[in-house]
Amino acid sequence: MKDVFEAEIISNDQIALDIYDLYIKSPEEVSKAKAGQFVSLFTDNPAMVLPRPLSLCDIDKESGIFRIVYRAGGSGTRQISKYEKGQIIKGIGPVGNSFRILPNTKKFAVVGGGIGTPPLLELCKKIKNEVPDSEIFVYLGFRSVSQVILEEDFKKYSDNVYITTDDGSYGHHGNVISVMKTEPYYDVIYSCGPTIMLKFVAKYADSNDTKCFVSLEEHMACSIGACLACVTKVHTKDGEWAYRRVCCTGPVFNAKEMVWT
Amino acid sequence: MILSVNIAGVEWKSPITTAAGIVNSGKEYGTYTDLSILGALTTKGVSLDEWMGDTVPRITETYGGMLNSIGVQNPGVENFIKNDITFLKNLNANVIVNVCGHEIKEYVSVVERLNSVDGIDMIELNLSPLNPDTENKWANFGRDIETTTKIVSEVRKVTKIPLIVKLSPNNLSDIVEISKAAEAAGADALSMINTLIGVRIDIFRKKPSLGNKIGGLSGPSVKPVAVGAVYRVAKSDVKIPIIGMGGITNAEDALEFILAGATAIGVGTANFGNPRVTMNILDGIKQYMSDNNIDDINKLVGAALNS
Repeated sequence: MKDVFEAEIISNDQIALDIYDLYIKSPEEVSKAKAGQFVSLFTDNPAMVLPRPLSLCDIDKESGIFRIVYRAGGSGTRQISKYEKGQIIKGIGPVGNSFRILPNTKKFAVVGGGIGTPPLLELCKKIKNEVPDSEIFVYLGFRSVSQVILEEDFKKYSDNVYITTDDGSYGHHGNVISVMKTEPYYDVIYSCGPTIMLKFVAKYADSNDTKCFVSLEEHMACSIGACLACVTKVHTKDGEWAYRRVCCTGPVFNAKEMVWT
Repeated sequence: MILSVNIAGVEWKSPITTAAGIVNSGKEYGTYTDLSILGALTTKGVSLDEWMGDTVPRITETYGGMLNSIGVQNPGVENFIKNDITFLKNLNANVIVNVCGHEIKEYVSVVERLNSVDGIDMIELNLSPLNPDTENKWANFGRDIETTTKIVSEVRKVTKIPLIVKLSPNNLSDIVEISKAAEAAGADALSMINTLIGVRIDIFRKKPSLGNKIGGLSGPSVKPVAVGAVYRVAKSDVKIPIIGMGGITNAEDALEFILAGATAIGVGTANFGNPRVTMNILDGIKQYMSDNNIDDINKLVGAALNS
């Protein structure tokens, strides 16, 4: 039987505006985890009845440590941001499917937006490990310089890391799509970020006949597939649509399946 | 130590069930917790045809609770039978199928279909105030004596399976009077409470947080309302047993309901915060009984009513 894990906090530091960098030690869960999965962490406040689903930014099998870069945007994540080194945090997971690397893909576009960026770092590590002659182009979009994260980390896996900001305060002024269009083609695109960005990435992929995978975020209660809160619309074979659970059918979906609203 | 209780002739090995709509049919939670310790597992709502459910966001947390508007997404009774009955039969716990519908004849059709299925121990009628009717207005089948009487008696006519009626307090009527009406119309047991209607506003987007705008409040914040409903109905001349639920998170909460008159208890929202919560609650009840030299859980039922 699976159990709630209890992980020791190794560090939990602020790295940008409202953004924190959490390292937790949980060897058994780390040994099972795959790029693209997430964990759901519990706060110790009984007034907060739901766990917080947070993506895995790095899965270090050697040290048994998860790295989780998260935004302290709501009450629960703000509470987690106050936890200190040495404290124990409970959680469930790893949960969800994962980023798959298709055969015969060499040229990768990795497109992140805001706090959707972290899980793409572990994906880049996976690509580097599994596809020795890969070429990775990384496009990361943020609102402003105060929210830019993980630039140096992505440079470990790619010589082509492009940052954009909405207000032009850092990197390219504008959105990631306009920058990614400067390359003539990609074999595959992976993206995680705001829905509106994913929609445009998917549209770009579709018009260029490029394979594309998107990782979604949705409000969750149970995180294990039972409660049917975190659903998203996908096309079905009969030309209709159906709801699929983001927590366990996803969070990674083939962009072609998605019904964008 | 006796932990078993009898609800409408059905023997439960422990006084604990899952609240409807929380663990679906148990497949997912069964990987985290031992469902066989339950007296009964209550399924998610089952309707006649497939219901797609509400638009997202379907849940939002509130202080000490959460609002949901899942909209009883379910594949319909035929798919439920095909996909879930075998699993449920092998759980080694009683199976309560929660039934929902847009109109009374849909409830009747679902129950008629379930009659012929082996392995269903009880049926729970979901009279949730949030179920939409065919015109997408709130059907609220438990809203008054007349509607409650009608739906319970129509369903009663078509089945011999023990029938639980799930009620929620609302501002239109007194839950004691509704409970009496359900009993008179043939209910074998009552479960209470269902969620309370609520809204949360997202102050940054300046609109309701839920896709459906209005949702059902559950979790610790509803508990005093739920204990109050159980207490008042148990104290009245309603004779049928009550399954108490609403914000139960630990053994102390469960014992409050039992002492207030519930023969058994249901655990809902707390499963999300701890997938093994039902096991922990059972352990806590045993500990309380042993600490207080109580050999039979039934001696605690309603013990606070005569003070």
